[in-house]
Amino acid sequence: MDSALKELRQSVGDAYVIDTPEDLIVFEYDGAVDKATPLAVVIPETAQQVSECVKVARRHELPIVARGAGTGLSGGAIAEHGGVVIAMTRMTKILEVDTENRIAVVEPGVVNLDLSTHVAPLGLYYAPDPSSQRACTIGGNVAENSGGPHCLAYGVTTNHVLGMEVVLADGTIQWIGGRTRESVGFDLRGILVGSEGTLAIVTKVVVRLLTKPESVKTLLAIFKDLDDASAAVSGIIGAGIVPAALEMMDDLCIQAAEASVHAGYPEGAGAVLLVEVDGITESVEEEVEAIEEVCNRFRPIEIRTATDAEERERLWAGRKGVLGALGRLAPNYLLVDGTVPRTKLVEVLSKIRQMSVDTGYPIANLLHAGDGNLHPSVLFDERIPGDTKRALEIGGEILELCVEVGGVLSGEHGIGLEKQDHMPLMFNESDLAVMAKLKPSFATEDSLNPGKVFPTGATCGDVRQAAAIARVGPGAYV
Amino acid sequence: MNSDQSDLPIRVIERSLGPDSVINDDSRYSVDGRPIPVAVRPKNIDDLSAILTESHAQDVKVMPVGGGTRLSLGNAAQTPDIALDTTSLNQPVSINSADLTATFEAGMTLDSVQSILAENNQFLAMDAALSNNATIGGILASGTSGPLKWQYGNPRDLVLGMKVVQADGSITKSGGQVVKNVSGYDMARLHVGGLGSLGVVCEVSFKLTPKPANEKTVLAAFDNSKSCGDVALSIFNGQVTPLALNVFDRGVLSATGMSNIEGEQYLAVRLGGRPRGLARMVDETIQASRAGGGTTIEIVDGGSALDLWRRISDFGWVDQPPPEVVLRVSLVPNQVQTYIDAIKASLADNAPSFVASPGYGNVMVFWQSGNTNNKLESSGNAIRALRGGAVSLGGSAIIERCPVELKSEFDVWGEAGDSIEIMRRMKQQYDPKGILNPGRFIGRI
Repeated sequence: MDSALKELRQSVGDAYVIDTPEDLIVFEYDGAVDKATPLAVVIPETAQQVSECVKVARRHELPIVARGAGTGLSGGAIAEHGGVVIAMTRMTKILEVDTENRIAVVEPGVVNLDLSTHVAPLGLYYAPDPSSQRACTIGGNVAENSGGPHCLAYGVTTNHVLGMEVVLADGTIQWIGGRTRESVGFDLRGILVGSEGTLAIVTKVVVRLLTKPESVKTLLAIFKDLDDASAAVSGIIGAGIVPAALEMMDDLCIQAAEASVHAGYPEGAGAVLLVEVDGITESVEEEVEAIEEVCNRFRPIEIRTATDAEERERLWAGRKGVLGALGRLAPNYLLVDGTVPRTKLVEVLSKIRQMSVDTGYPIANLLHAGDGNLHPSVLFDERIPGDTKRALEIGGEILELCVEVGGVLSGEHGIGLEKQDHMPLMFNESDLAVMAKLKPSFATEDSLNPGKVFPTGATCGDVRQAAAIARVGPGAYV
Repeated sequence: MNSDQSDLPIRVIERSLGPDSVINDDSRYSVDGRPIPVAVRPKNIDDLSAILTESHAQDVKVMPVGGGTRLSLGNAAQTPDIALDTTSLNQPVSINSADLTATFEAGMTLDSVQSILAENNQFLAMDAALSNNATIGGILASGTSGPLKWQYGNPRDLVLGMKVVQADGSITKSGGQVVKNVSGYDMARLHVGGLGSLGVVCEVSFKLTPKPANEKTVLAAFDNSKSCGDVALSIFNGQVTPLALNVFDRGVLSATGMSNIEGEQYLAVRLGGRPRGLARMVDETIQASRAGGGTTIEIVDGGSALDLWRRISDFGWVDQPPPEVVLRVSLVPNQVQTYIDAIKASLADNAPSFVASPGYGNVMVFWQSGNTNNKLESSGNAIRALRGGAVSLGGSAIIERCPVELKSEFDVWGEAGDSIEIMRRMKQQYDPKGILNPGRFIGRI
């Protein structure tokens, strides 16, 4: 091991290899998962250095895990099998902005929001906006195919990445895709986005930028319960409107948000619907009128609208602060990420409520209602013996329910470590075998982020009690 | 398969589905001018799986075929033993209009899919040439797209999940039926644009789109092609969000039946929305066209507009005889007009027709050899000029159609660079015996 460390130091410089236990602690976690300690963390500055580190790790048969900001919610950046973590902390340059073609070329460590902020004076933005966008990186977004509240209208990361420079498992540096919307041959770009760092390491990303819409309007509708709010969601979609964002929260979330950010939700509020529409002014006005009309059909307690940035921010405050606010209700929560067909929302939410009643564990529901992506949060206290295990079991039951009604395990957080053992709920052995063939296709020899995505064969509750348990606090996102 | 086993393809079909399933000597099944003597049209996915299982076991080469509208695409290779016709897999599997999702069998034509979805005022946001015959599986496998890609992207962006029969006959699925999903690798990506060389697409789940409340199309003529290109690019970078935007030449305009408008290059902008928003977008488009040097500007709507867009989408695929050379060119948006002007100059004696989607960075080029003594040589030169022009601007060009005799001179897909090694390994992993469309995809894999 000493020789591996020595070679890594030669590759990136002494200052950029971390191997003391006290310094490695911060790399044991990511956004929501259990911990594992790598042998070393290297912080390269160039693709060439990434390549050299990969070659060193391969020579010494050490697993390699690429890491962005560590905000991931499925354990994707955890060095489960030790080895070398390649942190992108120094690869943070926005290399190029091509305004006419609306393209940016960035290094993987660029923070998502920094890119939008950087191009804002040019009237442009980068559309995928995971809730962790103040911290998460473009490289991590590529690995997880991240979404965000606004992906309903604008799509997820894969719809916005044109090309990538990658380092393959043997250290080769290669371009996949490029600057054009189409490239020739198999769509390797589409395969790599969302492959959770298991096939290649991204060292440059070419992304599409969008023109900032001239008008954005946000509407907050408060209903007495989830059924009315869900009916309004169906009504909006039925009216032929695909809003930029369509978010929902239940009464538990409302209580938590009210207590923490004082969003000013009225007494008796059982569900809050947040709708955002953008585009040219006239279209936005017409759509907001239509949305109000739909909401009014379902006995809203109150409807608020906002046009300027500050007012909009106020309407979003409750939604954005809710996860952190859940800490007021319980010391821990287990965050689930299933997606169900939109029309099954009412059924699934009512079954989740019943689960909560039956088990005695409060479950708060916030959801990207427009695309059916649920985030039920099972509240518990890890200090109580058995509580963690029980919460995990409930989380597993919720995922089973999602798949049962035609949904999926993960809408936006990825499989990682957290949900790998639930994969057989969705995919049979042949399905998984076909997926697994991508690894030899990229000749990874399972050295890149090993032990993720695919089931381990054990039941999740036994394997890692702590998996998927978010530590509550203002730093938590969804 | 050895030459002394010429009845093996027939036996493969007989053994898997019975003698009644063998289709002999149907002239519809041919590739690069060579007939495929034996075909089969399985009635369901299990039958399709049985055919591939047996073909795989016997090392019989199979060409999946849908509506047969894009068979000109692909490198010249050995003639396949069996044409596997998917057009009997033609049923909707589930339509979930309230969820904006639907699943269809891959042998359905795009038109039949659209007519089902139209009942709920929704549509599949993709278009393709010959959509009355083109199947959704075939459109996806060939990676083609029509004018709607301006707003909705490549059809691959609409795919939520897929059921695929692998080369060895196993039936596998990936993705799901929800609009947001990161559960496992996005395997459908391998099959969109993969020409059926890694598996046969059998069922596809799509994201649906509500039909715009109203639609109007602005058609503008320009005396100067660069002005037309500039207007297109300014719309790409502005607030107006067209459903489709194409620029094209006089030849294309003639084919749309609107040949009375004088001009060098034309701009068609398809706009949709609620009344006030649509009115504003129409106004802005007209103003931009006028300010940018547009001469005649017309508004087309209703059935005439739908007809216009269908004819633009079909251009080059319905003519008899069809253009000998068709290329699908990819560029960054601001190089599209540069490319168009360059190829018009380099092929000045016999300029090609083109339909371009500048914001998407796509140009479809159509070239006829005309009256020349050496059609093959001039076609070859035209292809080199058209592809060379794209490559020199940092783009790429797929040869969608060319004289069969010339296919040995080119890789019709172009240059995959270093990635070709990964693609070869994929073929090795997913179709180790090379029974699916062998030799026809990039790098003759």
